[in-house]
Amino acid sequence: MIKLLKIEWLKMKNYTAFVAIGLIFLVCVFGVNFIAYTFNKSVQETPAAMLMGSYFSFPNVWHTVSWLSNFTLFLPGLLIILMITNEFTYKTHRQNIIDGWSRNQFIKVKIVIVFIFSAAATLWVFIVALAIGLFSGGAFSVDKIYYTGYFFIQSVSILMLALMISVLVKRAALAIAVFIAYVYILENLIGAIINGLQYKNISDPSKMIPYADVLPINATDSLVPFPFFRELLNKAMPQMNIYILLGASLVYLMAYIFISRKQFLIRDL
Amino acid sequence: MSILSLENIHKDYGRVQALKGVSFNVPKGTVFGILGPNGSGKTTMLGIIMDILKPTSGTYKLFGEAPTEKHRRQIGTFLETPNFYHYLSAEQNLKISAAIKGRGEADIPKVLEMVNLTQRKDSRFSTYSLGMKQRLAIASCLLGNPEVLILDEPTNGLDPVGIAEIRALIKKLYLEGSTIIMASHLLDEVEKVCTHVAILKKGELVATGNVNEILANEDIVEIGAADMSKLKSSVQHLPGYSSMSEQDNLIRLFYPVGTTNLESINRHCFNEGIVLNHLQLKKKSLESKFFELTN
Repeated sequence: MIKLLKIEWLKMKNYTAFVAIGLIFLVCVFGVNFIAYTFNKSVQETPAAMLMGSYFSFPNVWHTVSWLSNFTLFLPGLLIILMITNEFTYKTHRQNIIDGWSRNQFIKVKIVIVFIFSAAATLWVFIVALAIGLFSGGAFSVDKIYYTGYFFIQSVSILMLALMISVLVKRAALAIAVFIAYVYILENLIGAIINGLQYKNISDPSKMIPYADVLPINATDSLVPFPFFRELLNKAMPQMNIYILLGASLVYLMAYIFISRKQFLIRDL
Repeated sequence: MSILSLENIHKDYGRVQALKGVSFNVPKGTVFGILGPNGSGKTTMLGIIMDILKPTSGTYKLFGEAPTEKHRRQIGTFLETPNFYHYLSAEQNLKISAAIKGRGEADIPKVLEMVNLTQRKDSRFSTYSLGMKQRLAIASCLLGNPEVLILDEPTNGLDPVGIAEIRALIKKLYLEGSTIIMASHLLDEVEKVCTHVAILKKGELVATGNVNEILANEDIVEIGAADMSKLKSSVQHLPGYSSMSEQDNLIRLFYPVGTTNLESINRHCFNEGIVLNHLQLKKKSLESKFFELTN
């Protein structure tokens, strides 16, 4: 596997988009959190907001930073799409096989890259959360650090979806369109329809079962819920059980991997 | 030992049958041409051998064994188009190919020199001309000095000097003991370079064997005289020709290549009292042979 990864590194290290998107991602994760932190700080100086507690000191900072950083995951997602559709565009997926990789080796190393990218992204989120937490004062705590673990699951899940879409549609522009449209619009639409149908029959929203939370992207998104006004929201809206969410996330992830591998192993390249 | 053997390979694309049960063997140490017009299934067949296409049915063997990626690493293959990372230089691309083949990078300067790309080795692949891309693909095949080369239309897009160089390279590798499998739609190329040939037509194998036997040419002698009927009865006694036909008020005699003797034909007729007004030796055109085989 190290051999395969070294070859992938040869492909990546001189790819401008890899370097550029990588840097943009690092800057964005820091930027989003820093802006929110600064804004929060300015608001907190009003007496009313003091009561809300700090979202950017330990242990809440793990949760807040993980949630805010989630919005930047489309960047490594785009990178995965570009790297995989490049192979199809340049027909280098064929050449790699011709030169002596098995089909399985080709797809396996891409799947491993999704995990590596996710680990790197999670590490950065950890560093940013740690820095902001220390900066905002208060005692250090690793309570709620599991939210960075959930961020890792979110990352693996969304990047693996990007990989599957790339393998299925092969063309960069189309893959990006399908990916962005599904993640940011279509799934929310489906969720809204599911909730809407339920709402017709139930008048009290606190009695609704959040089925929409087990949709592919929602399942991982719901692992790290909206961090602000958490107590109020918990009372107003029912939450899906965390184990159901984890289970659903795992099932989707397996499906993405299974479909991607199956596609690449059996069809004409 | 057979380097490659195909056993009843079928490939369907929906209703289109690209290959209809192709079987043949490529012996070691040959230059094996796969000849056929455009769309005859040459590239499809090579794609199946390289595991980038899946056959509908049938099997094949590499080096007498069930094929795996390890066998492919011992074969330098150039299939259809030069496939490289556009944003990388020639050298960076070759590093990737060498690493996949499990070869060191020591060969890279040598193969770049062989195809005259040393000066441009640091240029991005996307800035290369078609001919240069083609030469880079051939350089990539030569990495690690493989015993077997598979080349799909290797001279496509090259200038005459480039074509001559590639053909000389193939000859050299053959003399060094390599086996070369080469697909081409150019009969002339196959005739010049190959020792063996398989001819494909619409996905079917029409002939396979030694080039000299399959593409055997004939010399044609055209003769004419004022009295054609007398000439005709006279030439029937001539020795050595394989067949005769009449066309455009001329008689055509077919001889095996290199056995024609115009002088003796002329003398024979003169002795019989016929003065020839037309005597010409014609080589049968390769193109007409190609049409004959594939139509």
